[in-house]
Amino acid sequence: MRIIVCFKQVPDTSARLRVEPGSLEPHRAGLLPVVNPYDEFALEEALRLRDSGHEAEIILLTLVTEPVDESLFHGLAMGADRAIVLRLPAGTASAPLVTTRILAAEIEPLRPDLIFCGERAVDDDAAQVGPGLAEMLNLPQICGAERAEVDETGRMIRARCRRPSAGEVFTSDLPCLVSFVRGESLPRYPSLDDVFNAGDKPVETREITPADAEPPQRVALLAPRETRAGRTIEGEPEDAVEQLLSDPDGMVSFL
Amino acid sequence: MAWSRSSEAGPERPVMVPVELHQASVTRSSLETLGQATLLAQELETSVLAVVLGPETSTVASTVTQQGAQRLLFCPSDSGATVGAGGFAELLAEVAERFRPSGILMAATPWGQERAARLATRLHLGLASSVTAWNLGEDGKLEVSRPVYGGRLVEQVEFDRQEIPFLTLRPGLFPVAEGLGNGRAETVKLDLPPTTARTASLVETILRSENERPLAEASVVVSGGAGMGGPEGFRVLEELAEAVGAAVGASRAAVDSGWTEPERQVGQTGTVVSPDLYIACGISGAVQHRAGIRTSRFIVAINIDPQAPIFRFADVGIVGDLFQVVPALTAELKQRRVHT
Repeated sequence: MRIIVCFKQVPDTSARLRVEPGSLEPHRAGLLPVVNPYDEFALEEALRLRDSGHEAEIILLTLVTEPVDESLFHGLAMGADRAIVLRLPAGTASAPLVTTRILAAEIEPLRPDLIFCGERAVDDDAAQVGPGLAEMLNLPQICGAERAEVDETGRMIRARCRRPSAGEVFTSDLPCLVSFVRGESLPRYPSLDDVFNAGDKPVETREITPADAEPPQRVALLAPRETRAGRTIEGEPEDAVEQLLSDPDGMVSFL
Repeated sequence: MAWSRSSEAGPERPVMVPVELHQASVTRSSLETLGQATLLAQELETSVLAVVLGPETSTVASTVTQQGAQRLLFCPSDSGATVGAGGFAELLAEVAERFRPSGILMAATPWGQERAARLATRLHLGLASSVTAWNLGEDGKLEVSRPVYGGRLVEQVEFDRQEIPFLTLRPGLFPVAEGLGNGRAETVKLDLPPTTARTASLVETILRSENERPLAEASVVVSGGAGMGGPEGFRVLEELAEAVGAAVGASRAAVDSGWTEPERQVGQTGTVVSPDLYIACGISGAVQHRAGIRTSRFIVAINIDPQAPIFRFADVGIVGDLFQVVPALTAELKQRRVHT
């Protein structure tokens, strides 16, 4: 079985982001690139499939405009077998539609049984590339999965998905695209041996010619306005609660 | 892109809204979307075309038209109400070719998002996901705002006049307006060919217990963080949630510690919420959490640490031990309910 895991490098998800006035990109100085957490969930599920006894080749596929190092290395150390890096010239923006086309063209000849990706990337928050790939490759899709299992024949996947009011379980024949959200199991942390061995794993890098930009165009990037009062109440619990509920335009007006 | 076929419905190019149903009725977020579509259609001097993939029902028809839709298209499918995302894209692309919409709006729910992305790809349209505000400029450009970087920043993107804007709207932010439509609409039934898209099958639905309210659509959310100290801490929150009809959420710290289920996680890698009221208990306020609650209308923070960053982005905060404050709050709210 061949599993392609789409992998994206994003700016540190725990950092506060700043934007210079007029800039269309966040200020990157001092920001560590990390693996998009949703892609880590996807890789973890691919690794769990292999752990459960399925023979699987797990390939990381990433499209980048800046050098990739730590994040890709981390994916290989977690257990992926090899990586394909598609490189766009620095400064090229890649809209979801463009990214989808580039990745689909790369994936098709590899004829994977499964394509795993994160439900969204914590940069453009678009949540489009997964379903877009399924559309371009004419594959069934299961989006928002927390857990996936392949049956013993290796021909069918079963995935549990999170929905606002319920959980849903889907099955699909392979090949299939599955996008992941956070499930019960957190992504594994590679051991020292894994980290040591990751350096020997094959990484294939290719330059990609940028496509024309697609609408809509970003025209501004802003820090959200902070408009909250931030009033704090101190004192005995009962008194504090009394004060909290005494403002008719405050909390009580929203109950 | 331009539509290739001639229009089936005259020269007018409607704003198209594919509608999400839940247990045969229109979801709240789809009503919010229809309301915004009506406002956009007014500015574009056109009308709203609501599309339902399913059999015609009068309840659906009347709810949809009250939000201002002038035309309602029912596309019954052979396979019943559930068409997969691939089938959806195929059918809606066909509808779009026939009606040549001037814009497409959907709700950014999981249902809507996976279908919108697939449809946009099929139609080669740019899609703006999870939009929180939009404005049609005098030059005909549609400018929309949407959160990016997990909600830490906001981007504004622009669709030129000649482009067909495709937006999904973040649920819970836009009003379900009254009296936008007159309750009358032209209903059209369109028999579309069966889809050929390969699709996954829904084999099981796991319903939550009845008193567990879904986070994404709750109007009040009570969340616990590292300050809960353990799984038993969440019982205190559940009592408050019960008293005010709230959903229970959690910070990543509480979920990572295994104190509560991942589906309760609010924030960058959990659910983004936009309730009327968000009560954060024992949550310090890491940027990832903050990003997931920013569009809440009113935020109350309860935390023992007066320096906790959460106080800087709450509307009001109580500095105190949540194990004393929360029960006091629950008791007081219960008492008020008895007296009113």
